[in-house]
Amino acid sequence: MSAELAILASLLSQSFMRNAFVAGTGIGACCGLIGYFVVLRGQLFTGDALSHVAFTGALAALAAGFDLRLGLFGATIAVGLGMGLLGRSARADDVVIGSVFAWMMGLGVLFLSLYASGNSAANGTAGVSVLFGSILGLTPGAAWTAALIGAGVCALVLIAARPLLFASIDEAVAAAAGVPVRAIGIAFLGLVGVTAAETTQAVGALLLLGLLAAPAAAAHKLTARPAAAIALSTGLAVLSVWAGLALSYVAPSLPPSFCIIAVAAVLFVGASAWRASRGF
Amino acid sequence: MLSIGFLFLLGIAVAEASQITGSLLVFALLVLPPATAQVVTGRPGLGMALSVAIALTVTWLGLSIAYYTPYPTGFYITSLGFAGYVAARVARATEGRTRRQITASARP
Repeated sequence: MSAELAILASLLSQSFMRNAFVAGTGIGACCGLIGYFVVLRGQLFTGDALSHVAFTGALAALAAGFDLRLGLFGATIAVGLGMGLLGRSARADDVVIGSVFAWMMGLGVLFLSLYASGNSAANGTAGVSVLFGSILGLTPGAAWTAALIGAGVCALVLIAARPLLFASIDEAVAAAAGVPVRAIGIAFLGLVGVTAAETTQAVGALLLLGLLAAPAAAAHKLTARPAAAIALSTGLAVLSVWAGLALSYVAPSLPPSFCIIAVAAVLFVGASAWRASRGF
Repeated sequence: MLSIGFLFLLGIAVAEASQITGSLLVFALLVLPPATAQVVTGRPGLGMALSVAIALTVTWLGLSIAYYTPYPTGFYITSLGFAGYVAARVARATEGRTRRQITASARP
């Protein structure tokens, strides 16, 4: 036991671990905050769709020889805004959306193969790091950038929290009260795009939905009061990242993305059980 | 009982399909051919046969193209499936439009 404690104490002396905590705090905070509204607005499918886009965008940038993050942020923000603009007027059914994003994933596979064959000496693990994240491999610059972007997203959401909450809970009444519902919806999906790109760096495109949904869903289970739920969702997401990082440090065979999502999932199951035990 | 049995079979189908396209692209091979078939015909028997035929064509074509080019099979299979679906939707839409035009011009 004391050995584990000693390992935990040495955790922050490692520079890669410090970078991971810096980036992870910003990513977790914006994920939990945005996630609360994504769950409230019933837009989880958007998050799932954006994870496909994140994969393809990142690999397209790599294949074209740009920085991975350029394609990541560019693709997710563009698609997020696009989905917001099309919105309900597009009336695309499940099959159409699913087909488009399945094909997008296929394009991602093409870009992966282009990248891997174009750079025979370069790492063939790019696909794995996009799909499952590489939070322990961040440079200090990338970590601080991720943390600052996360803080920026949080600030924007908090500034717009009241109208956003109003528009999410009762769109018609909010519109009647003069809240720019449509503009808020579009900007919100743009921010979800930024969050998706951020989270891809931490836990990867495949698992980003977990970090977006699980802490927020747990918060929705624990309290119905918006302010408390928002704080709780943010706190639980940051806690998941911290606990996941610490866990993967103590047990190096467990990858950090798995640990982070596992903690988030356990928190959600715990919250559900607590709610069930209260009988409501 | 029937739905449990169906989901059991679906599980087997997904495991089978992921050997060809990989688990990420299963959706394309599992959903696109039947979606295309349902756009083309409303009759269940014909739809099933058509769906199987489309899936086989897409897989065979994808495999053969991938053999002659350096790019991955999964990409070709998803792209062919998606192209088939889009083609069916477009054909359906233009057909509907011509039919409407015919009825409109037939009217005195």
